[in-house]
Amino acid sequence: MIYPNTKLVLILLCVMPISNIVAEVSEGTDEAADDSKIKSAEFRDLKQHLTGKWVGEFTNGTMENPAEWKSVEVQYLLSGNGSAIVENYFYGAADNPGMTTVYYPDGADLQLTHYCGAQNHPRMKWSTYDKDTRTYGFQYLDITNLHNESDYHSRMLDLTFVTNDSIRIVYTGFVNGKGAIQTYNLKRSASN
Amino acid sequence: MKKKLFGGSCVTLMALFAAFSLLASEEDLQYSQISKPGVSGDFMAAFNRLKSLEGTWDEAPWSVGEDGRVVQYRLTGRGSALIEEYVGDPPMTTVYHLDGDNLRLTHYCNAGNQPRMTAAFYRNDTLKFDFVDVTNLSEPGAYHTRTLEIKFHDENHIDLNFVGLKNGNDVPGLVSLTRRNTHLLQSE
Repeated sequence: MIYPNTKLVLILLCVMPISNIVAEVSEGTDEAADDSKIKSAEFRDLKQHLTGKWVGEFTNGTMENPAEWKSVEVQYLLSGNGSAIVENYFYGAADNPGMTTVYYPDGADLQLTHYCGAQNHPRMKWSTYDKDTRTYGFQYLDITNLHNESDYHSRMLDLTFVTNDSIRIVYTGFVNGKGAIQTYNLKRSASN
Repeated sequence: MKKKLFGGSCVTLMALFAAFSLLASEEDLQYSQISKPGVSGDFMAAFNRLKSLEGTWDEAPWSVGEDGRVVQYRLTGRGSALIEEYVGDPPMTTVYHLDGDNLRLTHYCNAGNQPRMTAAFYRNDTLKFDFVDVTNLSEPGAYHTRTLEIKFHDENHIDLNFVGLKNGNDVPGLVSLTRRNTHLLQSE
């Protein structure tokens, strides 16, 4: 015997879309971004060598012509199931990062978005790799939250593996049409 | 990552999202536009509302016996961007940020792609984002998130309603969060 309420349930089950019946889904797990599915060899290289905590110093200037060097801590975290590297820069004792850069693949290409202390957010695209210096070069793609063209905004980023445990990051920006460089020298933290 | 579906309200929501997509075509959602037709709301106020989420939150469990994830909101870029971090395995990140008088997000998804969205409206304690574009989509039919609607119930409770697309079919998902405290995990 089928009770009246049971009939109603059966009718509803017949007319409801399948998606309504399923209680849970696994977002992207069948298309998870494991390394075998990441086409960008450059992204895999960065992911392998950067993850963890780095400490060092930075200056508003170049290695050859620096201003005052100040201490900084940089954390690299994997996100998006291994499809994004989140680089957080911590200055002083602040709990929040002063700025953040996220590296991510785009097919065989590699991009980054830089959430800058200048409060704008340029995107850059990987353009060069110098095998001799182990330097990845990124070039400007576009930007959000730039109020005036003359405002400071980063246009290029060079990331160099000096050794496996030592990196240099150079941001090249422009303000009022003139170049402005910020250099970071970082060593892998012993607390990794 | 498992996500809860809407159940009985799914059909209604799908109809609403279809209606929204008719109102705002993708041509209207060019990322370079600062102000675009069809959008409404004070997005600076919306961003300030988002920034008030700073701290640590707990996701409601999907079912009895399961644990929800921990979600952390923290500022970066001298207050110009808010990072939403799903802590745990696997971690996932969304960054909300201003673009002039508009509001954007990039979702660094566990599906391995990175959809960008722009704010469509902020009213009645609800902030809605619509799809702009996506990077690293493995194939046209691959799952990717298309819309996000944040419902601010009060200062300690929010819902994140995602709708993704896979092989042409909508895949809705819900994350309900309750504030644990206003601190970040490493400062506890």
